[in-house]
Amino acid sequence: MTVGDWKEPEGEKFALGTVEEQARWQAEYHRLVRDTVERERAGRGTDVDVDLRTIGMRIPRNDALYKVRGRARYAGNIEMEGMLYGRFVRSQYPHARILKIDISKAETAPGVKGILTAAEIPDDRLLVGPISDDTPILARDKVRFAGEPIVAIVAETEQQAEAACLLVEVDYEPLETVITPEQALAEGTVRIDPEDGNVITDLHHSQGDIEIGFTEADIILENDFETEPIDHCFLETPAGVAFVDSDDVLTVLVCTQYPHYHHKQLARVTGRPMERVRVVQTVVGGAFGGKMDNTVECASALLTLKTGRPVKIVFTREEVFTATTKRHAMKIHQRLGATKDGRITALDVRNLFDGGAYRSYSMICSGRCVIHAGMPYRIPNLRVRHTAVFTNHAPSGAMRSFGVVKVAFAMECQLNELADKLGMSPIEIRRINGLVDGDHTSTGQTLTDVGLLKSLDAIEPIYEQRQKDLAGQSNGTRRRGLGIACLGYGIGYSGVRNPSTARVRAEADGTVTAFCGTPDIGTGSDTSLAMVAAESAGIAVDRIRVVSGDSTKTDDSGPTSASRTTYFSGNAAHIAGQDFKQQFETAVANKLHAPREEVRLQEDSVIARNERMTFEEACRLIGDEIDGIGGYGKFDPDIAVNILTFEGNPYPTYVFATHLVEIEVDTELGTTDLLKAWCAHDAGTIVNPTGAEGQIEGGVAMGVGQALWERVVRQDGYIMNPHYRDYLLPGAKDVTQEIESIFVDTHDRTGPYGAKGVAEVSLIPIPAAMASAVADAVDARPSHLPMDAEYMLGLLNGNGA
Amino acid sequence: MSCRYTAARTTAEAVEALVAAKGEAHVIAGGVALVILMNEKLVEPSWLVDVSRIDALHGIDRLSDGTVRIGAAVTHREVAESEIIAEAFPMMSEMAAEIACGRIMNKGTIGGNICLADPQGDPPITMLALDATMRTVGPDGRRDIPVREFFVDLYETALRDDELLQEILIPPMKPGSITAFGKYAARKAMDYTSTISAAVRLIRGAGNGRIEEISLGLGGVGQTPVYSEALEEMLTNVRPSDEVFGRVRERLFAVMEPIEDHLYSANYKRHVAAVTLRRTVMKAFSGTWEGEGVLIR
Repeated sequence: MTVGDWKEPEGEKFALGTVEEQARWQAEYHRLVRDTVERERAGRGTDVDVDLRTIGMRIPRNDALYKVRGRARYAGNIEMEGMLYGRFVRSQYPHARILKIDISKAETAPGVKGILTAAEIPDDRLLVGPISDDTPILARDKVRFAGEPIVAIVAETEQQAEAACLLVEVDYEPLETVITPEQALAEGTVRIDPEDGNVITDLHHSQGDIEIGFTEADIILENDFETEPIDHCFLETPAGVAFVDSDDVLTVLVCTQYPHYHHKQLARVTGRPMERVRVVQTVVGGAFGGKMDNTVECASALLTLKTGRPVKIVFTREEVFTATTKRHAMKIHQRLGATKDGRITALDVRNLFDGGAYRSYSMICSGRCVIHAGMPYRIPNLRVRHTAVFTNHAPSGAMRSFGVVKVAFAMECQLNELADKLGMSPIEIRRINGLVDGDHTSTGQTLTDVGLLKSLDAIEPIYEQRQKDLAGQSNGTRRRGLGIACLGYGIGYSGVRNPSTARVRAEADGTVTAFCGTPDIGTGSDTSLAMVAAESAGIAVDRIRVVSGDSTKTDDSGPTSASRTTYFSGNAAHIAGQDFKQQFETAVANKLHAPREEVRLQEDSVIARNERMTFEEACRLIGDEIDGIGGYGKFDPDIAVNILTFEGNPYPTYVFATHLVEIEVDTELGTTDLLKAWCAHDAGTIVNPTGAEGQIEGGVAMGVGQALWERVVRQDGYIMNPHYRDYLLPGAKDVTQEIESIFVDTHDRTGPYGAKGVAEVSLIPIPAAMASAVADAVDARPSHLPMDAEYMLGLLNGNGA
Repeated sequence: MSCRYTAARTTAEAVEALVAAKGEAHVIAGGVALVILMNEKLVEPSWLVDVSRIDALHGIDRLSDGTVRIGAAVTHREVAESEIIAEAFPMMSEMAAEIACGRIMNKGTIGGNICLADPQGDPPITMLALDATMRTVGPDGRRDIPVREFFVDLYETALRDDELLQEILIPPMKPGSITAFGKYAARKAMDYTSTISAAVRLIRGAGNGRIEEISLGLGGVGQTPVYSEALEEMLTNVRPSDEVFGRVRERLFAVMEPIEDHLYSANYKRHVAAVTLRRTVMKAFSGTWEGEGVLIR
């Protein structure tokens, strides 16, 4: 797809193509939505929620028609006049001093139009990063992982750029390589980071008195757990196009979770004023936390400024595996104490994170792991120490759940073992310890609207029935087992204010545009935000066009991450929708010289005195003054946590869930199959069940991969399986077709229409539930992810890990 | 980086190009393996000789003596859907129907797969169990190579640089033969690394209580697709039992040298090979099978 000097109207979302293009399918979308609404309303009968027009309905996604017709704009498909293509020269060593970079041969190579090295980037602009600016755009004096970018080259074709990269000569002086976290912490090990040595962060948190807690315990379980690094495996590799438009605005079209982050960063690294930079999100083909760091953005921007021509960079799959962030490899040592009647008295946790070569989101993941230690249970005496260290691996960063999936793996496995040892059911032990309204978290936060026990209630009868069904069925080499795991997860940034905003505006023709700060990264959030805004404004959902993902069209509302969009941006859309409704009603009242209170915008019509007019008629009546109507909503809950004591309210709300899985182990081969998953979620009010179920099914699929196969294999600092041939991602046949999503009846008093969100969390219990089901099936307790066949066979043969 | 490309229409044209290239040419048919290697820059051919449009390399026929002839450029899809093959060698239909995925079945060819000589390939081991003959064509004319002499080393065959595999000839099975194919893979589709497979043809005797005769092919257990006369001997004229399979397993551990990879150790692969072989033999012998399709689990 070729784009020119991109200057679309304000109400247009780049990723979905022009409004003109979209208009062709708008009628079809209207019909789809109207049919859905009619069908669902008929089905609702006298349901209590009958007042809600669209919340809770299976409204079709507002981007589906563009995507299925191939009109959605992916960065990799964008072509521009005079465009150059960029490739990187990457480090051959995991840890080395750079003695010399010789680009002379590459400079004269065919088609080469520009070469960028760190030497050209001023000191104060070289380092970038999402939390700390510590990662060089291009390495200057030293490389800290194999695959780190050193030189970027643009040429007339991608092949020419690639060929030129091979002509760059880098002289290295190899340094001692730090491979394991233990090695990083050992006395005398080489220091990776000039400032912090090898420790990224070392967090301590305690509550109550751990020694007293263990004294009170009748039983103490002490176990080690270990997880391997994994990749996000977004199907679309990082890709972007940078150019300077005719108004001298540096524009980067890129697949990202957070355009505003790149906007600020690009302003700094280019030295341009903020208003001379623009970052526009293209359609995102999967992100999962892996598209919130600098990948192609800074290099493509600097090279377009250097050459005066548009620059496109698309990562190869090998680059994704070797050079983008990974899920932290983690070791957890856990001591859990409980009384005979199943009450947890103490939990002592020691976490060790392999943070890789740079900080990325390690700090954030670490904080979340500390706060979520012991979730979702009452732990009277808690002690957590969490250390994240540098190693010479690719940086570890954000990935779905920010580390909590591993915390839950350890905690839930421990709890299930505890239940077994005490002769209790896994349901019972959770009823005894599970958080309920009025309980305090380990940070001292008082909880409300906790649906954990409701999710247990939903699972319990299914569990009991399946237990009966399976009794005596396991025989020979095929063993069935059931496993239960729960989760509790805080919505939004950890302990830092992270407001979200939305604006709602109408055109004279009746089109309504909602500008939402957080971009849709494939989850369908543009649709759920449109539903919330429509509900609050009193208009039809298909009337709303959502514009998101453009750093110049919306406020910075943080990234689409941390499960925060439905809750934070949903609240913003709700407030903006209400504000719009007020302003719109006032404008109509003024035109009609009617008392304000006699005008109501509802169900997509305006009722003024006793007359009813369509929304379009009302817009025409308001006329030019419609430009003055702008609904605005900002949601900014009071969030704070003391990072030394971990006291405070780190999140505005928490979601909860209970998962049950049924698996089968082939004891002769060590293989495990997931047969069925039942996922009961307290996600508050469900805005769009189709979207929520999609999130859960995706989370289960992702969890199965982490549980059974996925592993970035590293040897001496090099990744040995940087492609899908040897990195085993589950396929359609490997993920059970039987995933039952259950939404328990909860209502969050602070959420938009009571919603909390689903997003990341559906992944969290799956590896733990599967490990527990394995323990149920074969009487051996996995403590390592992935539980691949050879590991399992070793475990079954009593060889341990 | 330039690459010459010859779209041969006859075997003579193809052979002519191979001779001219003096060993530098790569033969391409479906390209499903070669193009991946090219994309990863593990192979950078200077001359591609495309044989996919040579008539003599197409078609599946039954000859008058009962031999089945399969053109080298016949796709896996054609093998899977061929009635001649389903009738003559049922395990080949099953095997071909579960190669990778639909797209690869549609493009990949049986000849290409055999000439790649990947130790984990599925078609080669069916050839070993069925005692097929590889008919090649070169500057000196035709040559018939028994399949048990065809696989020489890792990705290396008995084909000379100037030769082309034209067709595969599979003799009719002895009356009473039963075939079975079994495969272990970490995942249920699309696996390539670490697959272990077994192809079995056997004849039962003594009121169906014994294996009278057996021929085998094993995949993923060595540097090439593997056959083992010693294993065949151990399974001949015996009643299959835990004891027999125990000895087979010992033998397998003693002689097989599977390639260790990122997923599994050689010992785990030996273990899986023993299980795969036993389950596949029993599939043929007694029809017991708990797997899905050709997958052993």
